[in-house]
Amino acid sequence: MTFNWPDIPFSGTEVDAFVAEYKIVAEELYYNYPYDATELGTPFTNDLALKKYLEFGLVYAAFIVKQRAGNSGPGTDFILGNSPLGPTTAMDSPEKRRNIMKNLGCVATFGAMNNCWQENKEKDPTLDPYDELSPENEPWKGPIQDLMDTFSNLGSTGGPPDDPCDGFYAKYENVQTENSGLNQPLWSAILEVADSVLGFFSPNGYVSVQLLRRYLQGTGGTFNENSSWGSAAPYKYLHKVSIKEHINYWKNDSYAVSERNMSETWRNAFGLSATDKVYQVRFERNFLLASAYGTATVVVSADPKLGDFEVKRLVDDYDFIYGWEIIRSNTGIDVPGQPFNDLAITSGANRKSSPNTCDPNTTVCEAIDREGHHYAIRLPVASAMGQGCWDNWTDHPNPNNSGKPFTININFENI
Amino acid sequence: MIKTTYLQAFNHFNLSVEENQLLGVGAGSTISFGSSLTFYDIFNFKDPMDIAPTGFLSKSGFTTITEAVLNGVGYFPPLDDENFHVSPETVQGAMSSVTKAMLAAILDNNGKRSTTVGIGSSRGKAETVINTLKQKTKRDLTVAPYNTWRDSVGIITPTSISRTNNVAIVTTTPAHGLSTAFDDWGVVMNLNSGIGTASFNISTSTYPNGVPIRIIDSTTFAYANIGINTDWTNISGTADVRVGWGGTSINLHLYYA
Repeated sequence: MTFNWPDIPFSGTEVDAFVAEYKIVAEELYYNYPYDATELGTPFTNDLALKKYLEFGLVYAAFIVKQRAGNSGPGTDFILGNSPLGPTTAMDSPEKRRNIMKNLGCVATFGAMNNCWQENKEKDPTLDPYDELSPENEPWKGPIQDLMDTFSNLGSTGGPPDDPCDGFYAKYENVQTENSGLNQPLWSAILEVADSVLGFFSPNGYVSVQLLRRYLQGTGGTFNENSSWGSAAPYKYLHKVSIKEHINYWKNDSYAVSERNMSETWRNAFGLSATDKVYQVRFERNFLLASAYGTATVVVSADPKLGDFEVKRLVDDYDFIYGWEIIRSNTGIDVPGQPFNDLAITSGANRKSSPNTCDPNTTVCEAIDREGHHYAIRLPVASAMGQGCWDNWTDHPNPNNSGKPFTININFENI
Repeated sequence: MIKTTYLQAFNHFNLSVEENQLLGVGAGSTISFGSSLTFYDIFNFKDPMDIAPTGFLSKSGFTTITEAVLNGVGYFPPLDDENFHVSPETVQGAMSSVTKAMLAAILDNNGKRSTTVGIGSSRGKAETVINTLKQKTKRDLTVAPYNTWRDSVGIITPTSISRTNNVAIVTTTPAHGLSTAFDDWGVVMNLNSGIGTASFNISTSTYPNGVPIRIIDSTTFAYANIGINTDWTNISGTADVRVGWGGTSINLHLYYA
């Protein structure tokens, strides 16, 4: 996992100093700095992708410094690379053809070919008899594709739209209205797509989507090891391992993993042994775990700094400041992870003008605008509640369809 | 089946991606050496003025459902993933954004016109890089680089303007005073009188640090500006001068041999 730094094909006093510092900063950022990946622009949320940008970006950054240093003249121009186009004899043998195709980046695996098919067919869907995403075959895929395209085009001049009220939410409402008679709500169809995308990268993606699905279904209650895990069901152990790996990597960073001294009441409520340790864990550098939990309380069997340990339990409340929140007194057993009364559910902070003052005029866009991340996920959460603010979940005109927070209390001991 | 990998994107920056689209001209040229052909380009960023990161940049719009969905759910794949690869333009744009962030964090003067490594801890510089790459609503505008990056460096007074083939040409009185030793000047045009002057103005919501200009002479400069051809018109208003990316040397090139 160490950086694979490229050679810098030029040197000089300024550029040498810059390159040395660049590597130090990149390594500090990548290995030691617990930033919140969910706050970054989309192309930077993936750790491995960011590492590649840092590696390859060094050459370009160094060249800019070299340009500025003014060491001009023959020999200091930078030959970036060879053209992939070869001479006419470049493809006159099978081996040469394989090589040039390889050099062009062609990958003949099933995944790569499937990807090419997916992309190419969209250019002329009328010629595609197998288009699984066409509106004719699946009534929800068309609207979602339309929605995503709208969202993406809004950001085509420089990233995602800064204001979701600017076009995208209107489009979301239109699509929702146009398809209101079909057999599943729009958010459910969006989660199907999110499940297939995020789950592909890691089982943690499935967990993230399943928790959101539970919220939007209005299930409430407690999510535990025996609940419906959806597509994540076969991957509970891998999920547990991911949590352990995250803690193990960040165990020496008190911001990311900090020990908590819980009361006896708390320890008894969650069935801890005398040797169990409790940590507040920020999952910020792991995008998918962060999407599921953000920050959670994790019980482990021993101090991670002193040796091996097992993840025994994870507790949290699953709620949204732009949707519904669970109000906890944090006294006794009224803490995240423990059962709650529905009367403790209230509109999130983004819908209030002060901590205890609901603003009934808060629109969906205003609620989202102040906080949060990926719009395609946030909009269904805020849209489920609709415009307004309610002190109690039960006061909502249609509470069962407005989303509902729940508590997370997963016992990993037998997983 | 051809798949353009991230290595293609990183190692073969194409001229059209990195050309200065805002000026409507590219710095690249072709030159011949005997029987071979070489392309060269002055290296700069696609957006040579601002530091805010780019998102998805597929040149032909978001033609793939894959890229659109990834954008929608806010997740980015590993670059060598075979099923969810994104466009080379997006990969190149993302790397450019990281390059800018690293330059701003490491060099003095927010990375502008400097070759000197700045003082400060590596942790502090890493924080600057991350702050640079954050979504707009998450950025801390009170610290580097955003606290000073878009600062004005002066005001010049335009007195007449014209537009031909989507390039606006501005004359100033007195002389603008911008040194031709630098190629990183930009302006935020704010004209308030004259026929059709509103179409020449630059919105800082779209271009937070203005648009790049090309200095023609001591009293004239040009900038990309889409609109109908317009004869010379007397105007009043201001051109707020900004500094973006670039340097003092224009004689070093990236070569594609």
